[in-house]
Amino acid sequence: MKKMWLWYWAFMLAGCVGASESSRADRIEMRDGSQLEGQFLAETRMGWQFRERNGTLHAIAPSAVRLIHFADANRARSFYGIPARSVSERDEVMLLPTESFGRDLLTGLRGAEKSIHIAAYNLSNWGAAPMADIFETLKQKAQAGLQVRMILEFGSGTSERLKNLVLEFAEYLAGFGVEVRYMQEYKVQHKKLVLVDNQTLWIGSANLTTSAMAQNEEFNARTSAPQVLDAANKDFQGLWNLARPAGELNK
Amino acid sequence: MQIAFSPRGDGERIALRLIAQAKQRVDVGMFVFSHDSFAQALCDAAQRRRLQVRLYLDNRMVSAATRPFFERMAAAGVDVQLVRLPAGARFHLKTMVVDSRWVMTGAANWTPQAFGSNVEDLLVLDSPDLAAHYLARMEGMPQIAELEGLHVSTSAGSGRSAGRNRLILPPTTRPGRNVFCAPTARTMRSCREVHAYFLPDPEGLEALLVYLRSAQESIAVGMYLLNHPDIVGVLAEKARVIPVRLLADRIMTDPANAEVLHTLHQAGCEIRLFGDGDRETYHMKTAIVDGSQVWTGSANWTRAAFAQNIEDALCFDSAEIASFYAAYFDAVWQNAVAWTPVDGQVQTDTAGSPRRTTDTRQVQSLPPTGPRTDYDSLTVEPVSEFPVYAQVEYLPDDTYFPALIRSIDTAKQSILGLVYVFSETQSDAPHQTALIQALVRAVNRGVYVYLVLYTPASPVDRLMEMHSNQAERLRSQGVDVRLAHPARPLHAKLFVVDQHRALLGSHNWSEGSLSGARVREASLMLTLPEPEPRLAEYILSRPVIADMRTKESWDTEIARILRLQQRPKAQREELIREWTAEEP
Repeated sequence: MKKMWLWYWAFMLAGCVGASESSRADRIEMRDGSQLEGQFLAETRMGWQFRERNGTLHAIAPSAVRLIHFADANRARSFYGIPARSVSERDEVMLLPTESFGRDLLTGLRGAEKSIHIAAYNLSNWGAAPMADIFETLKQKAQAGLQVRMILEFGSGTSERLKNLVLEFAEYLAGFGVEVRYMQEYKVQHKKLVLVDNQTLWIGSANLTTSAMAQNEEFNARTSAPQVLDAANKDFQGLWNLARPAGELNK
Repeated sequence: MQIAFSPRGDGERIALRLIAQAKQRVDVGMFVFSHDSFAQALCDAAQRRRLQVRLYLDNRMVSAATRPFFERMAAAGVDVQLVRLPAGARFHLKTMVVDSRWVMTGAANWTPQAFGSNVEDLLVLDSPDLAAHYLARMEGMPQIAELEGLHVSTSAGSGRSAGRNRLILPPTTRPGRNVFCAPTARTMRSCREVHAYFLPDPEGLEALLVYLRSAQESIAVGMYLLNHPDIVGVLAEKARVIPVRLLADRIMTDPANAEVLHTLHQAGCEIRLFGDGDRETYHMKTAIVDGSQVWTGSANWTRAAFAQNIEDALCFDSAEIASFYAAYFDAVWQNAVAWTPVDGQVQTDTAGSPRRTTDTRQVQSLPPTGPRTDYDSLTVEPVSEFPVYAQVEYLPDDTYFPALIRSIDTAKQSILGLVYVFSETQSDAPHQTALIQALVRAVNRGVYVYLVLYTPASPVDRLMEMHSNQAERLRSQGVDVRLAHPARPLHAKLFVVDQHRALLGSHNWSEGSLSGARVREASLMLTLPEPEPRLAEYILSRPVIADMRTKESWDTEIARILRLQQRPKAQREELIREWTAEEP
């Protein structure tokens, strides 16, 4: 009985708050496709208490819900248990779905002043923009004296056809001063990293191919978060030491 | 004579044993066939034991997606025959004849879903006479052609040593408590006579109508799909005078069938629905009359089934058989939901005391999937870049997996992902096994888990089958797996928990990537200080196959999309019209 009274007061209280900010409602997308707008009140053993704008109360089973959108960030933080330090310690990360990645990477490469370090699984010959421009930029930067290094896969886990296509084109780039090394191990080199001046990192799912820039569904990100750059630079350096130039490969 | 039911009953074992014990020949007529164990059993019979094995299929069920499956069988020496029927008609049998003596038939297609999650029946009759009728039917199909254009080299098939093709029977272990299971198979001793009807012969419908009209005490109908107007008419007639119960699949709530339910409800028929429309299907095609007669077979009670399709129907006059069917009918009935018409008027009276009326919303199933993909050309709006501010962590190689599992285990409400490779779990894949277990744990906590898997643009790509199987397995465990639209190759590896934690990078969900033992990978983990709805929106808006109700439906859709992509525009429109017309 005591509990019920508590609930009653909780609802009344929530009702007052709700009325004052009715424009900023919480929203629940149900799995059956319907939507509820109103206010998320509390978690109970019967389910999540939610009061609709028209006043109807619902006890919603979590398994009936697709997504919740909280109007208030603090409410969301306490609901999901988001750690407080994520508020203070944070860096910018630019999220780059398919088409935006190529453009963003090209701009970044053009601004390189000291070095460009790339790790990829494969790359494809020229192709359409922006891939053609990216390779053109790599050539120019290498010719201008920047350290341009590239690590590619040449191991037994990859088809001969793909390996040889990669080798042929990478060696063409090497002719312009790009330093190319290959991983030829049991472990497949599948990392996709681009490091510019050891200060900016592009990382994600995209290889250096035209289909990755325009046709596929890809997801990449750019960041300059110092601890990430530190780790990624070390990782690249480790790979570079393991990788071998074309002349030393078993073909 | 033996009768088995699904789900998780003895049907699969009985069928596989029957094949394993065949001495001379095996003849199969099957509408949907995707079950590996059955394929393996037939290959074993043809290749190792040198029996004559013949498989009749509806030629429209052999699509780009399913073709390699049948080609492998053909390469092992199974004589695969494609039956071509007029538009709108289906070769709908689920029948096997062994040594011209044993007849196995019923509602169950040879799919893992039929035996693992659907409600189905399966009958085995020892009758050379009946076997002869079935064989004559299958051999007498007007237009049959052999499966052509093998992609699988025959040398690969015959090169296998005979011993390696050994048959593996499924384990006898029963699932734990709280899992709905069919009863143990039963051998019937009293049955001396069976009436068999082959559709579309008109006697079938006449016999059924007579048989329903003759009911004196009660009728119990267990039916996947019921909309034949004559049958609905007779049932409504009977419902006014004797108790009539209809146990049907949830598919009956589709607008196209809703009128049938209304008609029967008004006549006094008691209606319950089983299945969540996505996973468990109530697939029986059975009637029990006066507790003493049973009608069953492959035919749904639709106009197409009786007038066009190739179907079978068996009719038994046996209290023993009827009571076995009735007991299972009642068991499923207990687990089904009563159907009553919903009034259009929803009560929204807030003048009273709305705070006291708490409405409890409980949905345990996956969200509905669309009826069908839009076959017209796909357009994807590019999504532009957007910044987030987050705690960032670099996750190379084997550091990704523990972070992934931790994120899943701390998920409170939603887990959304795009995955390029989620290969099927091999026996020795501890990381993948742990990942799947974590996802299922999350589902059981009430977390919504949505995963989109890559669909290759080529039907012979290994990932096609792997992801289709993975989707089937995970969907049956409550994970809302979708297959990506093949026109937009999904290569991203993005995973978002509770809209505020994201893992992105190069890690696929193969054992070698997750363990770090076979592939070198690099990903990032972002922890945002608050939810970012754009992450969820991005994942949920990626184009996917709409019809994810069953493996059959998504395989069909994918095959159609791939076929369309190869056709000139004029032909495309014609095909789309044809497919639209054949919808039930």
